[in-house]
Amino acid sequence: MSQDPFYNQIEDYLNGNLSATEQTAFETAMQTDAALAQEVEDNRLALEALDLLVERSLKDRLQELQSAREQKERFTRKPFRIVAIAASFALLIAIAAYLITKQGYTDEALFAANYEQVQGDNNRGSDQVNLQLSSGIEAFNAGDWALAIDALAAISSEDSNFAEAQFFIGQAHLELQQTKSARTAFQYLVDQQDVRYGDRAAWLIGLSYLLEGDELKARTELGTIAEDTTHAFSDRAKQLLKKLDSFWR
Amino acid sequence: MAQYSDEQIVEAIKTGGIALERVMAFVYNNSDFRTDIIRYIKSKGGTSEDAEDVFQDGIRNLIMSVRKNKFRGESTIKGYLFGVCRNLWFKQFNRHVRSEQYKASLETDATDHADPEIVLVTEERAQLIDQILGKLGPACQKVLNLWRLSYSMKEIAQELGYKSDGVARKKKHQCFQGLLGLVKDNPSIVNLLREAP
Repeated sequence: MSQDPFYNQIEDYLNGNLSATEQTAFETAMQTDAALAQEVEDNRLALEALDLLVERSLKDRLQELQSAREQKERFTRKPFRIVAIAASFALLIAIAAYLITKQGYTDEALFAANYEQVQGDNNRGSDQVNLQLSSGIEAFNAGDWALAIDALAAISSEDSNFAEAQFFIGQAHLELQQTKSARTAFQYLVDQQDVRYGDRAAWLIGLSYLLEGDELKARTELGTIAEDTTHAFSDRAKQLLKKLDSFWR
Repeated sequence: MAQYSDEQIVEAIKTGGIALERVMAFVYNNSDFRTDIIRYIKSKGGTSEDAEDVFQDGIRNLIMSVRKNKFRGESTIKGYLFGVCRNLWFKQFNRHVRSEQYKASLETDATDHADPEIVLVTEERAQLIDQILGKLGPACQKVLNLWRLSYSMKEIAQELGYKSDGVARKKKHQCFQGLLGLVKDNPSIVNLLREAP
């Protein structure tokens, strides 16, 4: 660097940092010192070139600010996306709940919810008819439906245990989903107005139609039961009919 | 974010360094400055991207204008930015659009506002000068850029990982001498720099 003090003032002169007096002196020196004037001009051009770098760096910085702004805007919009996602999930859950609930209102589901298997007492007398009934009920209680039907079918309609045998035969056929055979056995009990099994048999006839998907006939049977306020299954028939009318079906 | 008056904006730009960084973020994110400009550029056929680019160029022009002592302060910063952006858009469109009617509509707009000077260098000149500056190397470009933006030597040392502000000062001196050498040795860059922007 030159020892001439003016050369040390070039930067301040170009940046406008000299006092009025210093500036006048500097400009006077330039008029008499061509080398100084050239050095000032070179410095001025160098600073001009540097301003290009500055412009570039400002551009980069503004683009960083733009990225930050866009990111912030995305973040601001995020809650709306979260609401949309939550709404979608809620909708899916609602649909799933609807389908699950709907499943609970199918004919099969309503049959399963209302059918209660009644087990029998297999400790009877030692006579032949009672032994026959006991073995049939024992097979029924053990879940051997076919064996139960065979054993119970051997009991004559003349025997005093015939009605009880028909009830378990009907239940065994229901378990085997042989609805028509089940109804034949239950119908006997209804027709006989059997005190022990008549009302339940009528109820099971209605359920048997549900099991085979014949809603119309099920409604007819259940309607009859529901209307009969003395019927042991009147209330349950009403409830079941309501479910048959449900939105969920 | 801090609020700035027009005078404080100009002062912070002159101060440079961190103050400039902060005020630039304020101006960029100020919807009062941004909204009218974006709407105007779009109304004149620009896309959102065009509007964003022009707005950023407007801010750069404001900063460079203040730092080169060319900012006259004859209007508000908002009015100045709008005028610059309108002129930049007109300049950009003038190159591509042949419709005299459209140009006339932009010129009519121009009479309604202040008419600030565009101080940014054109892209063509920038590329030529860039070739010369590239010879300085990235480290020198960084130190000189920060120095030109009035960062203190201490800040430059921190920013670029130098051991002390003395090292930063020495580095800046070496780099500036390198730049002076490039300017002296390249008449083409001298001619380019002497042309008006």
